[in-house]
This record gives sequence, C-alpha cells and structure tokens, in this order.
Amino acid sequence: MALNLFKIETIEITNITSSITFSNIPQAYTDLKLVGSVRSNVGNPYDFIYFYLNTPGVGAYTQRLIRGDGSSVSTQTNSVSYYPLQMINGNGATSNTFGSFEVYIPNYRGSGEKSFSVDIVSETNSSGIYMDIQSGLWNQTAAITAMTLASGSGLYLPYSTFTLYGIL
Amino acid sequence: MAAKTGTYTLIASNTLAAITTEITFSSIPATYTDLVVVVNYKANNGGKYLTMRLNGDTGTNYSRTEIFADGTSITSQNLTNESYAYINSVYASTGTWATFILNLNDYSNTTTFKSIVTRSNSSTYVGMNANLWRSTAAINTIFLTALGSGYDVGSTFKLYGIEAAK
Repeated sequence: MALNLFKIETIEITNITSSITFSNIPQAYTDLKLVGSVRSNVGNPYDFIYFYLNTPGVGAYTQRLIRGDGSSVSTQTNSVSYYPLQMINGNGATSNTFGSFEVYIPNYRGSGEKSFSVDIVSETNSSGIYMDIQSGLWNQTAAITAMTLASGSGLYLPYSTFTLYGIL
Repeated sequence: MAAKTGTYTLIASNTLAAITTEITFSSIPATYTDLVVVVNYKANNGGKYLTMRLNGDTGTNYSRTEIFADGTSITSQNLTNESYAYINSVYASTGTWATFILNLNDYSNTTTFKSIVTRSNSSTYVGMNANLWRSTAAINTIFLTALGSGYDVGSTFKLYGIEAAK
C-alpha cells in the first residue's frame, strides 16, 4: 500500500527571526499537520505565536482552549483576526528547553470553513508554564495555500523548528 | 520529500454526498499496529453528540473519562457501563465545522481490553476523551453515529493504519 505521510518542508531558525511562512503549499494532500519546537527570546517563561492561514488579516479565527499550569485548569474563548498559538517557551524558561506544538488541519482543500486541532506543551522544570488543548476555526472557505507563524512578544531563537507534513 | 517507511496508510475514506447519521468502517485489516480516524464534519440540524460502537457490540461494555470546555466552564467526568462509547465534546451547532481525531492503539490484539483516545474540536467545545471497550476482540468494525443529528454533505471520514517502523 502507498505510504501517506509526507514531509513538505522543515524550517529551522538559524538567526533570531520574527516570522516564518510556508508558502505554495501543495494541493496534493487531504490533511496538513504542522509540528513545531520553539523558543523565543522574551524574558518570560512563555510566549505565544500569531498563526495565520493564507493571507494575514483575512478572515476571523475562533479559539476554545483548556489550559493547565500544574496547579489549576482554565478555559478561554477568543475570537480574533489571528489565531493565538499559546504557549511556547520563552527565554525565561530553563535553558535549552523548547515548547512543542502540533496543529492538525483536515480537509484543508475543502470548501467549508477550516476546523483544526491544536495541542501545545511547554516545560521549564518550574512553575509558570502551560499546556493546552485547543479547538480552532477559521471562518474562510478558501483552500489553504500558505501558513505564517509570527512570533508574539519575542523573536524565535535559533534551533527552533517548524515542520509541515501532508497526509493523503 | 517522502517519509521513511512506517507511517500512515489510508485504509478507507468517505466524503458524504448526502446527509448521513452513521458511518461504518468495516473489514478493517489486522495488519497494522494502531488505527487513527480523522473526521472533519459539518453538523446538520443542530449538532449533537457522537457515539462509537466497536464490532457492533451493543452491550454495556463501554466506559469513559473525559474533559471538555466551552470557553466558560470546564467539565470532567467518568461514566461506566454504557452501551456506546460517547464522545461529548464533538458537539457542534448547525452548519458549523468540527474536527475530531481518534487513536485506537494496539487495536488488533486479542489479549487486552481496548482504549481509545479522542481529541475533539468544534466551534462550541474543545475536549479529550479516554474511552474503554471491555473486550479482548480485535477491532474490525467501527460505527460512528451522530445522535439526534447528522453529518452534512461534504463531511469527510478517513481511517488510517499505522505500521511499525521498518
């Protein structure tokens, strides 16, 4: 049988950077999976990412999340013009630690609004760090052809990686 | 760039051309180590809850522990001896799209009971479920039913098998 998980591209940060983009995403798969290992230079233990599909500023995003910080659990709803990928590691976290996240977007070429699943974890061998499960929705019906991940309060540090997979 | 061997293999796929209340994956081969079901659905006539039955078992052999939230409140609960594997947090309102991903690990072994982990995402809820099916039978059929509602046209259902790395 055919193998159906394909790496489209990996972007590794070599110089401090504010944004990365996957462009010209092939329209040859059914689903997309984005995996990141990220640390920013903000002084806090945590930071976030502005996540955009296709053209930044087009459409609206809805987010529902459950968050744990090691002592309590909370939930949020956000409706904004970008999708806030919260929380990745900041430079206030333990040295050499990176936050990890996964975004799964099924049916990315479909004609419906785009629903996606997000899991994010960060760890710092201390308090003040988070883990989330998130539900995302982009209210646009266009096929996804690009993704931009702009850094939040800080800039991406070297050795941060972003990998986009296509699934058939 | 193609991945190395040991990855997702599409076993079955279904894109709906008509409103449907139940999807069945049958005759699932036992040749993989794990199964993954990916569903992207549009709720018809008010989204309700999803139930899953394995191998057609209608006995009270299912239990669940789940956590889900709507942005205002969080619920976690444990329920036992149910006749379906319920997944509450896939609730979606009419006309909205939702995504859920089920992982059925070691599905073909005939020694242990089967556990299923689900991540669900809708415009109403986000959640995670742990379902248990108290059967040692290998999973060969999966029924996914939208209670009180239906999956609308354009909804997609895919079943993947994951092979061990070679």
